[in-house]
Amino acid sequence: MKNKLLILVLALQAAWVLGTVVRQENLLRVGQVVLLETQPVDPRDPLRGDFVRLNYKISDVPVNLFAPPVKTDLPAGAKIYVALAPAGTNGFYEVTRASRERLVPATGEIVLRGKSGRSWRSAAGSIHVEYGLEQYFVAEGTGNPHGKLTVQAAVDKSGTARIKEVFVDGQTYAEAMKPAAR
Amino acid sequence: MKTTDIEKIHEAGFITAEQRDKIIAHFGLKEEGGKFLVIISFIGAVMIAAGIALLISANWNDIPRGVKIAAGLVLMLGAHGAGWWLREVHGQYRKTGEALQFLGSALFLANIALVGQIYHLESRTPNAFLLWLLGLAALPWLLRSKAQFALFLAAFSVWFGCEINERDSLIFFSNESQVLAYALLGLNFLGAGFLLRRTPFPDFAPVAEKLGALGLLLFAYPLTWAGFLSWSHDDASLCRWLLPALAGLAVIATAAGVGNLPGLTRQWRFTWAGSLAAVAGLLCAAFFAPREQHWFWAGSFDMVNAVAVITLFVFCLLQIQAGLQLRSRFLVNLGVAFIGLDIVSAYFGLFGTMARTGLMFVVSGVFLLIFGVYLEKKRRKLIGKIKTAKITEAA
Repeated sequence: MKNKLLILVLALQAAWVLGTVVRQENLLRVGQVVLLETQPVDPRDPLRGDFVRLNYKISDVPVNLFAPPVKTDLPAGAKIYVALAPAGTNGFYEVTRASRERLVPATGEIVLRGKSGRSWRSAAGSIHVEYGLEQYFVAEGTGNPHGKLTVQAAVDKSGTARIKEVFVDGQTYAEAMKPAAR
Repeated sequence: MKTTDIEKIHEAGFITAEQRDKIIAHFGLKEEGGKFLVIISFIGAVMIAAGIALLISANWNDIPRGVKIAAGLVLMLGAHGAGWWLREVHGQYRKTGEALQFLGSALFLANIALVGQIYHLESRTPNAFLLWLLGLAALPWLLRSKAQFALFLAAFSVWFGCEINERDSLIFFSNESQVLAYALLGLNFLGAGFLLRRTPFPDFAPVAEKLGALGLLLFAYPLTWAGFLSWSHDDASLCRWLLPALAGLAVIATAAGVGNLPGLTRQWRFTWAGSLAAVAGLLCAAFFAPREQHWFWAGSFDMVNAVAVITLFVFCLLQIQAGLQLRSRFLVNLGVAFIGLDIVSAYFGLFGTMARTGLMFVVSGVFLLIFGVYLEKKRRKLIGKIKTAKITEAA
């Protein structure tokens, strides 16, 4: 009986690992891909190592794009839906509208689910939105890239987004930062 | 009494080989080498877990993510499997097996970190520790392993520490007053240890009690530092019910569990439970007591510090007496060590002008020297009593 229970506990632990892997892999494979502009900052996580903190152009959503209207002092952690569409010819997605209620995407739009960040992080007249795309874990010593950073993210139907690839001046992050790797 | 002592007595010709074996069997003495092996095994397990965590942090791009995940899972399940085999099937290296299972549990946290790193998952740090805690919660009881239980308590403490420092947490308690929460958590561990004595898992009681007593004194001790807690503790964003709730739980647990302490007389049970309840109350009071607030560290020794110094001193004396009755060397040594530290705090806290400080130095120095000798004599005497009582009881 004890051994069966032990196997059950270990199976649950392994199931969490595998379940998370399957969910994330599925999102990366079938999710719709968007290209985003970003800027880096480089801290370190005690368990997961060096990472680049990414601040996106779409992170600050002007309040005038919200329907129904909201105020800038939205409490941190409030659920927010943001619709994105490609702007111009460079392929980058930008915010077209936002709401605290679930949005139905119009043609050419992708809806991202996020949550409001702390108000002191917002640009004037905007709400700072976090999409779960703000941390990008990198090889040791490569957390300080120079050049234009772009992010390719996959988005599933629920609006959850995951980073698929990060580019530095058009090269993949790992390639571009290889000389800096320890 | 060690096996080597009995060997020496045998070699000197005072006892026969048969008597030696009888003594060793009667007192259940073990080879010291075995204990050393246990320590080495656990240090090894901790080093492997830390090494793997660092390798994960290094995040080598050249290894495909599938290989990383497979390696993480194989290592975790392999450590558990090998540990189980050594303990249950082979049976001769049970402690090494326990160390391997300990490693397996530590690697579950490494796997959580690995998945979070590979998929760049954004989440609250305490959630990762909570997941780890939930994952290993059943293992101490299933494996009947003290090491797993110690890891479980450590995981709980780490989760608690991270959680109270998260601004969006229900139990947010982030500034220096968080030491009060840790001290009360220690008191809860102590109470849990008392309660565990009357369960099918009495082996776990010393682990919880020792960790609890150490946590309580370690985190209550800063209250004796001049100026500690006198700035910005009146932060309105801090959770107001956390300390009373922890104190209430601790009082209930210790009061309910003190009856399980076999060495204490009825009078001492009341005294010990009362002391622990008083400490819980005073730890709460240290936070809620009206106090002159500063926006900077003023460093002046005030009423809270004075009460803390006196309380810690009296509590340690009571702990030593309780330790003596319970025949716990740990409680006695801990009490003596913190009396020494308490005196050091009071000494530095009462610094004043050059003349006063000079006089304080001389008086305190002489006092420390004399009191140090007295404490050491007292400690040796108490330890001697414990040893004698244990031997008499066993005989």
